Amino acid sequence: MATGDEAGFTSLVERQARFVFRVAYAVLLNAADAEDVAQETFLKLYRNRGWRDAGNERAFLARVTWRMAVDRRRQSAQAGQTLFATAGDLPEAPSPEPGPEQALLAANRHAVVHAMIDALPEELRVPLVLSAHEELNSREIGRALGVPEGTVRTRLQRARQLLRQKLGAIEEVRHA
Amino acid sequence: MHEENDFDRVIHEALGAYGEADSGLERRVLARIAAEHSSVPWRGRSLWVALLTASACLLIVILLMHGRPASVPQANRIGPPTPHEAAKVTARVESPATQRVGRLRRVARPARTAGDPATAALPKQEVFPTPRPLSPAERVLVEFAARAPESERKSFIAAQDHLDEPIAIAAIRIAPIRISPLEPPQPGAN
Repeated sequence: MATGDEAGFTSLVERQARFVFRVAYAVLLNAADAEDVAQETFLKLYRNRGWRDAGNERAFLARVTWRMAVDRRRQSAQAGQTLFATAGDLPEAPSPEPGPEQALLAANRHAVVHAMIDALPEELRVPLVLSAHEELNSREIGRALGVPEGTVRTRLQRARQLLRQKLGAIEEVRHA
Repeated sequence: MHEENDFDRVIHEALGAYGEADSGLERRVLARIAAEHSSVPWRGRSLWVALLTASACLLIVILLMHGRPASVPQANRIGPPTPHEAAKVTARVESPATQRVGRLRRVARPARTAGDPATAALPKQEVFPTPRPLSPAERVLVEFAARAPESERKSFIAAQDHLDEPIAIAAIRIAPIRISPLEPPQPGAN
């Protein structure tokens, strides 16, 4: 690879490695697996030099990473590992008694929200994570995930609504 | 409404910190790519070495198969091989080098010659088996048949008919040997 390409690729890794990791994590919910997928994503790009022709860098990386993460999850499922959250796995509203969620809220509100995001079904979680970071709009997310733009908007609204409900329930318990 | 905005703010802030990688992610990614990249030329070199070795082996086999000077002239020559050439051919066939090459190398054979009745090309005959002149014994038999009287010929023909019958051999009889008893020795005789 030419020196210019090497420098360009290094710059790409420095710019987007954390974004790629975040996309992989949104699918896999496991930091070690997410890092593996991030490394493999960049390795694949390095081999086929695909990043040079990418129009929207983030949308392109999101699409590639998401596909690789989904493949990794499928392989893990075939190997009998953990199944991931579905719509039925959303956390229930906290009970009136002070529980671990309340204690956690007191310590770190972000950690509670992260746990709630983890509990969202994947079709809501991934668009939410992609929308939260800078430039990706609904159309670009739709392209990356292979769904219509309207579907992305609906999913984003639904994800935020669910998170609000859970946060409201926790706040009620806290103030009770 | 104020509460909803507050929740949105919390969600937004939490999303900003969601899925944070450990420090040094970029360095680890670049290190892995460098490791993979450094192994690729080695694989490429080994591939070239394997290709060159295979090509060299193929070239040697081709030279062994087509590089024998005696094979081409022998095929076109008419006449038996000289004893010296026959010895060379035998040595080639039995040498260990020939055995190693095995099936890839054709074994040299003596060329077909015009003087060899067994292998010379003959015209195809209409009658099979091909008629041949009478042998001396057959000629004597024909003369005998022409000159002998009728009774002799018939007895000869009859004898020919019995040729296929099994031969009867009379049992061999051997008379027992008779030996007279020995006389007892006389007293005083020495």
